Amino acid sequence: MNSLPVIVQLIVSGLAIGGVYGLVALAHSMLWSGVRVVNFAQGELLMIAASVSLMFVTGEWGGAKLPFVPAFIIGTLFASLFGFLIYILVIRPTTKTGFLFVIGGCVAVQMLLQSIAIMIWGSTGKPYPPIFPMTPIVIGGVYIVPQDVFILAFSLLAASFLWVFLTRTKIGTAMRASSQNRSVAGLMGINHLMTDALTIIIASGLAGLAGILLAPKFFVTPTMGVAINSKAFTAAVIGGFGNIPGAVIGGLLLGVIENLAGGIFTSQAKDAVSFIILILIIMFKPGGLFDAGPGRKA
Amino acid sequence: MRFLSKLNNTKTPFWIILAFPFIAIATLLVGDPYISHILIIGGIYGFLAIGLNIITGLCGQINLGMAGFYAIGSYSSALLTTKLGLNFWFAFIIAILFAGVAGLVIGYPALKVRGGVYLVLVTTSFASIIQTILTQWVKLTNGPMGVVGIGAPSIFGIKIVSLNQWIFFVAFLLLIAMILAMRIENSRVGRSLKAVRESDTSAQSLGVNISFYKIQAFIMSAAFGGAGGSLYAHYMTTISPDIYNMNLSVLALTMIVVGGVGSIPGSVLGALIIAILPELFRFMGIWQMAVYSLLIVLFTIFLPRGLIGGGIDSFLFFKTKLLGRE
Repeated sequence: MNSLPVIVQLIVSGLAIGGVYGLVALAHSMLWSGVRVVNFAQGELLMIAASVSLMFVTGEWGGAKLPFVPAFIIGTLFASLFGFLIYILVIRPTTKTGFLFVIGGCVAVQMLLQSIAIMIWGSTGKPYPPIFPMTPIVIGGVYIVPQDVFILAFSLLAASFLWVFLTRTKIGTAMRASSQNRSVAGLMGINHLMTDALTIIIASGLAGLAGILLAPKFFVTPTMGVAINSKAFTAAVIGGFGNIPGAVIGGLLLGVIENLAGGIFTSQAKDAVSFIILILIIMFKPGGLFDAGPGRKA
Repeated sequence: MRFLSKLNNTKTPFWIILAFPFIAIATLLVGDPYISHILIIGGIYGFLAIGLNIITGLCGQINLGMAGFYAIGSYSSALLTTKLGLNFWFAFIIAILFAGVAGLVIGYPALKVRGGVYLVLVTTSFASIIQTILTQWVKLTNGPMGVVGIGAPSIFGIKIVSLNQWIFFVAFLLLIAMILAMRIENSRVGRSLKAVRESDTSAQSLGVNISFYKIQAFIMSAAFGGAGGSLYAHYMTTISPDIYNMNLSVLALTMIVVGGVGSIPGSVLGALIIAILPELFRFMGIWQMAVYSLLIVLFTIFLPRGLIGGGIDSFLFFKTKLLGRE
């Protein structure tokens, strides 16, 4: 069983799901480093994006069946909108009272969105038509699913686009500046309202993107985001909470480790391993794997 | 960590704790078994909420792993009585001890954690690991099938079986738990915990051993959670791992938010309300959960001091503004 092709197989399929974890982790890291908030209802954005785009793909909304790309864009925009609304209506007012209330508010929003989703779309899982075939191709004894390759490639592409946006454009530089030192960035004439809103919209959009990428692999259900969100937290912590490249690497790492654990031990070990890694990292390397030490930015 | 800007510093009158026995008697007069059941569950949740309020409300450490302590309490009590044939009271005390040990185990890594996010993640992971162990360790816990046929407790030779007996049993134990928790709150330990909540650094500079008190708060909170879990197992007589999920920890959090963070009577009030509220909305059909969760969102935004805090505020307002008294 533990022959080399099987291991390679597990690593390859782990990378695909790892890419999705990486995107959601990236959203968490962006929110934390840019706006200093945590959206615990991030998983529901995945669900909203996947469900809405599924409605357009199947023609349930508007009658005509849309092709994948517009449905994809609309789903992502919905996630951005909801992420922004959650921030304005719940996270911002509760932040003044205390972190406990941010958690309470977000968790209640999570319940609210899930119950609304059950009312609109029903509680049963719906299949999402895959963009690429799900039948595996054999390359050197390794079975590779084209959809998995697409997921990985697209999430890496999205992450690198984001990186280029953050480092090469003026707005991106402003966003990084306000994440490094908020008050000084404000003194330099950076409009916090703009950078905050942009960060939240991009981060929520990323989460939505992850949801649509993941949808063909699993079913679209009202609770699909919960498990992914908890994995994404682990991925973000592995890379250092708030570290943007670290989040993607953490996601890929977690996907691979989890899949290896699932293949070598039992499938239940898969879920436990994420929590054990989380506790170990927080205890022994709280700044993440790429933390160079106090005072230095990795 | 200053995590709550408006605190429940106003002292709640001690007689409020007598409210629960009064509600119990009122339910007895109504005599509806369904209402009784909801009330018993609410009373058992009260232990969970008191436990969470000690660690979160008094000490300021956010804990989203109450389900783990509750599960440990339930399973140790259930297994000790069904497999070893122990008396309920012995099993109850051992369950509290086991939960306390779990509190120690999770309290140690929690000490190293800086910032609320990491603490939330550590405690949720802890609860999830406990749930996985309960599902996977089939030899001991019977896995997903759960433990069945957990015996009823007996007090002075009277077996607690009927709903009316359970109401008074839970009310009695909850009263003891509340008195205990309020004693803790007003003791030297409680004051130290509050100092840690306000500021780690200044508490330490005043000679408060913050590691010691944080771990102590985790142990006490776990012990209350374990007591609730043990009672739950004996009341339901059947338990399975799937009920000790993340939702339960979240439920505990909403209880203290609705009742009042940092107030022991508030946590019991919140527990009762959280148990009763979904039932009140049952007539709404599919809207039930949506309305319920919307209400909790509104609570977190507009009533951060909870019902107890809001009640005290409005009482003081009427007293000073309308009656013109200081």
